[in-house]
Amino acid sequence: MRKFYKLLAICIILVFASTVYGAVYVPTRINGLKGDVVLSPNGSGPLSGLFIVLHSYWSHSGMLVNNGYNIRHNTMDFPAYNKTWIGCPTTLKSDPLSNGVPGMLTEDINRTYNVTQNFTAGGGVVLKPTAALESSYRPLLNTVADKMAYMDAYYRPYGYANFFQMDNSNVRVKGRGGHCSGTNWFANYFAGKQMNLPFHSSQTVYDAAVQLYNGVRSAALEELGWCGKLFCGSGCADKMANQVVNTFGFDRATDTSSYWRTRLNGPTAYLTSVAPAPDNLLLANYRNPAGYYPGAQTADSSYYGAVEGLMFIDGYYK
Amino acid sequence: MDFIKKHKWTLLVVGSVALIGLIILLRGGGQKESALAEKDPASAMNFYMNLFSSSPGETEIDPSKVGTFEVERKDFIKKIHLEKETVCSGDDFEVRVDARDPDGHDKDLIFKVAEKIGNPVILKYYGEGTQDIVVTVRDYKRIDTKTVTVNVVKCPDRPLVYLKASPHPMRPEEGEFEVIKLEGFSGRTRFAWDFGDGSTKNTDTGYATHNYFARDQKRFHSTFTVKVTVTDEKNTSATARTTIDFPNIQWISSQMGAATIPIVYNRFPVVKDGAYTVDVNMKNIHNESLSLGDAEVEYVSCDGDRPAETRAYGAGALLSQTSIARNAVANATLTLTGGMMPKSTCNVTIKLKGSTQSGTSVNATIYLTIPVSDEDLKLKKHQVIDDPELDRKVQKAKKLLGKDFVTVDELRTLEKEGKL
Repeated sequence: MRKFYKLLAICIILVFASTVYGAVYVPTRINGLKGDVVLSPNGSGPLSGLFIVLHSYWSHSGMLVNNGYNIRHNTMDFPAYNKTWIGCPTTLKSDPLSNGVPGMLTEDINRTYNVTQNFTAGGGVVLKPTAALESSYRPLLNTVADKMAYMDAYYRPYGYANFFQMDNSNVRVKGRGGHCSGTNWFANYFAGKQMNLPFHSSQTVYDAAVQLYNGVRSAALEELGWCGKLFCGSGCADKMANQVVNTFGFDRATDTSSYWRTRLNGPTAYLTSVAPAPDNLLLANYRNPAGYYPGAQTADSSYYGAVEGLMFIDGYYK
Repeated sequence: MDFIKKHKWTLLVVGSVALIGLIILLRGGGQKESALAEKDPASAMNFYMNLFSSSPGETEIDPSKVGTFEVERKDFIKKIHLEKETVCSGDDFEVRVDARDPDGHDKDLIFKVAEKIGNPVILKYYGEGTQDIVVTVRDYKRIDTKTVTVNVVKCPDRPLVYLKASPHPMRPEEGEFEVIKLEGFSGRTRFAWDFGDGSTKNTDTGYATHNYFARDQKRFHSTFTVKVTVTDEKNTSATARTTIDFPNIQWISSQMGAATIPIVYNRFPVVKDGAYTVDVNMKNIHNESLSLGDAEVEYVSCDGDRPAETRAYGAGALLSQTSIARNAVANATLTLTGGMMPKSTCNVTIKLKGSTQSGTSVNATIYLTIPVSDEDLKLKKHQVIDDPELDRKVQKAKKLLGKDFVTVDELRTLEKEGKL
């Protein structure tokens, strides 16, 4: 008899579970196909100055891993703080600064534009093959997208200085990974297409580092609040900004000193970079909305010959 | 054995020293490597590059062959107009820049005032004291900067409106405006919006959106000053302003040889007597008239396994208007008659092709969504809502709108207006 009641209860739950929530969601998608790259514009965050120095209008990129429904990309959250015993932020936690999370992730369109806002619609574009080459390049781009879907890695700020640290692997390893456009580049590379890389001189790297330092410092000063200011003045913001730049340049995530200042563009050392910013994925003859031609690609080096304004094919709840 | 017993302490000390020495030696080696990388990072990078290179020792990029240029200082900025030189803390004020390119390429100039792209911009400061405002005007290779100062003072209590403007997250040509805080108002408030392009709107909530697709696109960016005037039951009133900036992607595409038309349309067609109709507004951003000649229509089945059907039509068979005068907006109706639409179609992509008077090719694309029928739902990619709160909002939104489906945008708007 007990068994009968249990069974009855389960049946009732199942019946209600299938009827209580009546709505379904038919997902939104965008005007790209599997393998197309999506670029999102430069905001006003701490990294914006860095991209201005690199003449990049777009600051984030990802790849469609199916026909418009999901973007896979590589990004990181601002790392958590180390705090004093009364909870005041002092420095940034080094591990999530060096090996950024969430790292590579796949998001649906509604989530990435509407909820997490990792991507922005205004000024967004889709990089795709030209109409003439669409049919011949699409199968190849599907392979690139499959590779992108397979790969998994941390977001590595150090990928900007030491680009070649991404593996053809779906296992995350600390100390390995890449940044957003670099991840798109590697998906192409591991699928057999070696796109061109830009060359950033040590002066450019230094200028970008100074902008990055200023951006992070301002953001940290705002974030720290009275508590941080009371205990460190602007010292904690300086330390955090140094930490971030030291990580970008040298993966020295615990180093709060101004180590980077003398090692990016002399006198102690010089650092150049070949890491692509989002705009470096464009063809070299494309003038971006910032007025520059930062593209590093030619018709031979890239499948992406066309730039199309972002459009949404609306989803709905029924 | 006796030797070991006799000298066990000596051996222990010697062994420990040797072990420590070995560790130091090993660590020293590691330090040398990293020191090398720090002193000569280019060499370190070459090493990593060569890991992937098929011909060791050769980098793919020769830095000496990379072209560089000096950014030249140019006298672009003629005058900076400050609306007020002394402003109240929390009050907005306009900064407008008169700039001219001596070589005549004014449309290539890009403006940045403080941290805002655009011209003019609305700024606002809090606290007291002087604030430097750095104005930068530049083009591809030349730059000009000037600094002006504004004095920020504390003012007596007065009603304040805090207005936030941002690009709509899912409508590339649309701005989203929100009054995020009110001070000094009481009771019910009314909101009168001026979107800066000649359009106005009244709302009873502090949320509004506006589509700027019809703007003239003659340069890289277009900036608009948006105003909201808030009035409460006691007729207390205050105005806030802000600026919003849009990159002119279609204009840039046209410069790159791929001319497109900014276009706005109802993404969900109205169905009547078996025909599907859509209001379509198109902006001709060119200085000459254009006409649309061909239309390629792709019907995408609700069943993802079935291939899409593509059919060609004359643009005139679909659109009520196919010619657009220079810099004008065409308000047309697009109709797909019942016979055109294959059964179980869930999406329609319409590619319109035409040319300007001088023969430049132009195109525009329209993406339509046909809500799936209950019988086809099993064929269509969808997710069952398992969040009771979201389900409640969807059901309420359906009731409010009197429809059997709710778009993502409609749900977002109703949420922002506090109606759910």
